[in-house]
Amino acid sequence: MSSRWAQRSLALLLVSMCSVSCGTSEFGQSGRDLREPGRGSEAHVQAPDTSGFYELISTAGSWRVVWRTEPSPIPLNEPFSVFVRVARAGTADFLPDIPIWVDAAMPHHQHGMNRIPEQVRVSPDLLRADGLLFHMPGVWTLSFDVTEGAITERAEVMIEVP
Amino acid sequence: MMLATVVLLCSLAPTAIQADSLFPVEVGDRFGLFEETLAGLPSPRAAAFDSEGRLFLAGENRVDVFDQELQRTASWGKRGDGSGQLRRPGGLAVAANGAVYVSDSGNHRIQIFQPDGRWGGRFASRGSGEGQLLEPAGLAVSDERLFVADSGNNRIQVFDRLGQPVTRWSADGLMRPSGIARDEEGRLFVADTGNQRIVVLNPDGAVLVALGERGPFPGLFSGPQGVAVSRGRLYVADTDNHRIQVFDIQSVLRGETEPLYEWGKHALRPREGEGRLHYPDAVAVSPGGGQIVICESFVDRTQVFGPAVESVEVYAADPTVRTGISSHYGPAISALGPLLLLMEPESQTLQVMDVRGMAPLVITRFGGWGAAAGKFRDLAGVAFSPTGRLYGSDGDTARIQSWRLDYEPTGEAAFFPGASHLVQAVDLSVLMESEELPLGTSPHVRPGALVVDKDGLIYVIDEVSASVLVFDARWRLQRRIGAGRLKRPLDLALLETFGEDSASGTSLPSGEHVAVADGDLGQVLLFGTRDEPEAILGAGLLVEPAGVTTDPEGRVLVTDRATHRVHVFDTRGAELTSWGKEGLGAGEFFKPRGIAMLPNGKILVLDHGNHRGQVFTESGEFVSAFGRRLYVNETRAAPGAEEVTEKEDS
Amino acid sequence: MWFLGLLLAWSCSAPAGETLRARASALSPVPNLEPDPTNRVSENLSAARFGQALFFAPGLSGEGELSCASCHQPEAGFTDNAAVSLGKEAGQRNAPTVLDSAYERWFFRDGRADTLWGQGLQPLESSLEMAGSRTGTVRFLLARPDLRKAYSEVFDNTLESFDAVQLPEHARPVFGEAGHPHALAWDALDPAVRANIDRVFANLGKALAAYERKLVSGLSPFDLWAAGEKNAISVSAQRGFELFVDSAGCLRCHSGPRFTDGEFHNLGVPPRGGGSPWDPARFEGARRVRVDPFGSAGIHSDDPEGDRSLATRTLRVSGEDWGAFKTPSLRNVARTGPYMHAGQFATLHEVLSYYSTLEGAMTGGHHAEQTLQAADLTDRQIDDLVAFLESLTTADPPADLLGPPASH
Repeated sequence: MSSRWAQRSLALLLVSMCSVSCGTSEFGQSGRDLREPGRGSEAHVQAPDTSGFYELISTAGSWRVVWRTEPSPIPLNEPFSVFVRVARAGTADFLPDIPIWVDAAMPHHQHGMNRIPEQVRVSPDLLRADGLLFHMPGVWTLSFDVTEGAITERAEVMIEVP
Repeated sequence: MMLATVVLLCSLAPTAIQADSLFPVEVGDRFGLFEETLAGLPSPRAAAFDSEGRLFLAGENRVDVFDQELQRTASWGKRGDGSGQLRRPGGLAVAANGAVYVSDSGNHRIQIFQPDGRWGGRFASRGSGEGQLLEPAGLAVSDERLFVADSGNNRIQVFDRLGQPVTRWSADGLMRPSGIARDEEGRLFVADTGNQRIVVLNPDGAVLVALGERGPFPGLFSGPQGVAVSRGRLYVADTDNHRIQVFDIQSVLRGETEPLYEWGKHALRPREGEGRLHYPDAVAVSPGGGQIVICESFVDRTQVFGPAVESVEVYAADPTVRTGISSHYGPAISALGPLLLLMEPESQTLQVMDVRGMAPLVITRFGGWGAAAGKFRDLAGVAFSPTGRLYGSDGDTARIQSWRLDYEPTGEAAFFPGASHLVQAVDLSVLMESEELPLGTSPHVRPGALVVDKDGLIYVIDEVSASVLVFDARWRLQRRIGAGRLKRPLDLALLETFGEDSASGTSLPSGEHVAVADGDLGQVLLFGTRDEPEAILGAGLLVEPAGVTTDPEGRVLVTDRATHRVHVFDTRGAELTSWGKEGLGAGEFFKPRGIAMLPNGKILVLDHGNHRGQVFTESGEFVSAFGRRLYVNETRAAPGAEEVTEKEDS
Repeated sequence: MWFLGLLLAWSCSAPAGETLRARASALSPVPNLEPDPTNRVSENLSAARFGQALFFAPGLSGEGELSCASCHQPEAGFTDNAAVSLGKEAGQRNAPTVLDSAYERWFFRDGRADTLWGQGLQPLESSLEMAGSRTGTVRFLLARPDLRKAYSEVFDNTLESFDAVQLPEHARPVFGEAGHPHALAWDALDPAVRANIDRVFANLGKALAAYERKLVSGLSPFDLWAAGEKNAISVSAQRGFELFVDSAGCLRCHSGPRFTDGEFHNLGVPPRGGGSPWDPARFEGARRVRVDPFGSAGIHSDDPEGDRSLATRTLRVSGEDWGAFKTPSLRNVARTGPYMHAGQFATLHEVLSYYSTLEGAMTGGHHAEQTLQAADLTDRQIDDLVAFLESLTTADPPADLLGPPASH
């Protein structure tokens, strides 16, 4: 039974982008082969901007999340911090004090980090999450959960840690 | 004589715990040997002994009484909501004077009986206020007080013996407490089921210690529902781990988490008993200490165990047993074209299957246990939207979460671990706080089954208010359906517009309607735009309708969990066909739940109690089954049946 | 619409075009040890010399004749080559090596300490190990003029404060057993005396750690090969290395130059002696590390709010940690058998056979998640992997570190 598992899931590994909401039918989105941390789909900033921040749009399309890590790229098995700001999609103004939860998991191994990041408001619109740890090599999903009222939306990016 | 010997052995002090042995407790000081099955009472959910050693069991709609030799001597109760009538009783306690208190869960009240069954009174009613209950479960009684695990209200409610409410405790944030037991010092042991732990309270309701977390290992629990206390030991029916764990109470109070021992081998063959356990949910120890009674309501069985006569390994589960014994599909399913969305309660995951091939293939799995967005603590309902978005509801966190699925059912099907992406998590209790609610209603909400229509409207059952909430795509509450009318909505489906039946000139009203299967009313109610239902299906025919769907022609298909049948109603609301009976073979069911339409008019029934899905033609002919081998194999006997087993990653 | 799939072996993917040697050089050598901010004497040579004397001092716990070296024997790779150690009583777990231990993030197989100096104190008070107490240790020091003098030269004059005090034979707080005789004696002591005993105790741990930090493994044949010496390791070992980093997937947990992630995984290894798993391991360790007074965030730490304590503060603890043990480093693994948390496997061949088939694995019943897959290795592949692991053996640390310090 285990070799069937191995055959199936190991022979075809999908590494895909997951933060795009382009208005197409929700059935079927192209996957993207991901090599560099923070790489988005064509619709978004492919390289970091001059301040080193990458950009994501939440899966439901409401939020624009800009983020960067320190150090960058994310090292294997060493603690790192994430800096993040959020604006409404299509706007430039970053919102102060908006609840953002930064977390990460390895989707292919069904487990998350063994750390709960510590969050610090560096300034009203800039959040820093400390103590993240990607303890195993492979594909991690870094996620940003933005909450307004009753609704939480997620922006996520897949990052491969060699 | 044997009883005396056992009593003598049980009164010996337990041996000290050795450093290198998990099970230091001597043979003779433990339970484990299967003695007999007490059959005949469906869905037994509660057990209690009186001081003389008579056993009371409560299940389905009645209470059974057994003498000290475990011969049934009396039985009382029938389904209903009148005095002395019961509906899914979930708790029992026998006072020192012999009075029998019954937690009448489905009627949200407590009833009192004399030991001979004569009715002695009732109190409490449905609600969340003082003196009100919502699906009350376990009971414990002292000289002056009755302690009720008020499960649907996430609290313990204390009454005096005459039914006057005294106080309410939510302790350390209880979540669906199911069982409660009391020791000689008046401490209360609560099975805090949703929090996967046991909470110990002092007689004033203050938390002394909380024991356990979620997991399959010693000292961890999975949905524990039953507790009993006897001779300084705590017995926990660790339901989803299919075992009983036994703790020393003094150790627990010191904060230690190691159990003394555990027993319970998971049932392998369908309906296997003979000492194997399958979702044990209630436990009671005889006053003499020589017998322990375990209820397994899921399989309509009560088993009695006596003292162990062999070493512990003989009775405990084989630790090398790996995933793959049983699918354990949850009750809810949804279909969109050739894709199925199923739930797996044990792992709190959703899975998507592609049924185009000979064997249904799991193509992705997501969710998992937790409180964070994207995780679940009590996965209740699942739904595809017509555009292919996936929805899951969580009763404990009161959330509805949705995912985008990156998968096209064209070409070769395969497993893609990362094919699902969380879109939204919506907290309904926050939403409802901001709504204008009728006076006296709390924002406490427990979402269950849900469906989504082509305009993105979300229809979700709320178990607290027994109604259907309708939200638009921006989560503004549009209306509430069935409040005051429904009792226990279990599933729902949407009917599109359809025309009249010209032959008879009558038809179900056209326009979009919601069909709601109500397990306590025994009916499927069709609601249109008015508050009153437009039509009622199955009155007098259905007993416990638990799953409902509609087909493109406007027929309504219903599963009945109590009669183990499928019913199809035509557009006039008349029964077109029905099939099924209790059993393991093709076309037979055990407590069927979800039902969905597959391409080409095929019907999928989630045969919940048989851990499998069955596929039928629209006339009810068996086509195939999928799921775990042992249960699917049983369908082979039907001539012409295809044997397919689910292919999946372990 | 189809996706681009990646054919991926079940370890991390190798960046295209790199040779095996390049991958080896990314894992070699072990970097230099950074100072430990939580231990102000971590680089202090006098403290290290004092710590060395303590490490080899029989009866340091104030009870019996055991020293740290009794179970961490220099000639046995600083372990005892026993399945489980025999201290005062038979232990329950296999003694890890002290070599390279200063690189670890967590200590003990269950990670219940997060400082090297805090780790060294627990065996002194463990009833299974050296069965003493911090008070017994202070009494031991007071009766040894040489150690007493060394303490006051390295640290302070706290030891002098005990001259006028009648110390009980043993006193210490006992985790979870408030009625233990040692705990009762501890409660009876004056709070100022307790504080002084704890201060001395913490300092002893820091001295021990200063010595242990010098026990690093040096260069192995693998490192020489990675640096360019073509024949430093056999062809079989080179094949084994390739398996290790690619198809056998070992790097997933045995990552980095020390071949460990330093974190915790449940491999389902059956308990020694049979039966069902009983050792909660990380589940208990994670709770204990957060309340350890001799931990990175405690009052004896010299950097309580630094980076080290962040890891402990942010630790996520759940039932999933149950039965998870720390990944050991594979440097010098050939010297530190038997293997696994209770020494269940006598040889590296047995370890690899287990990984190959996962026969008998106990990972938690039929509802548990399972992420470990059987590696399905042939006998030759196992031999190659063993050859690679053996190539990670180094020479001993300098001889003057392998016993009590030479007296001047």
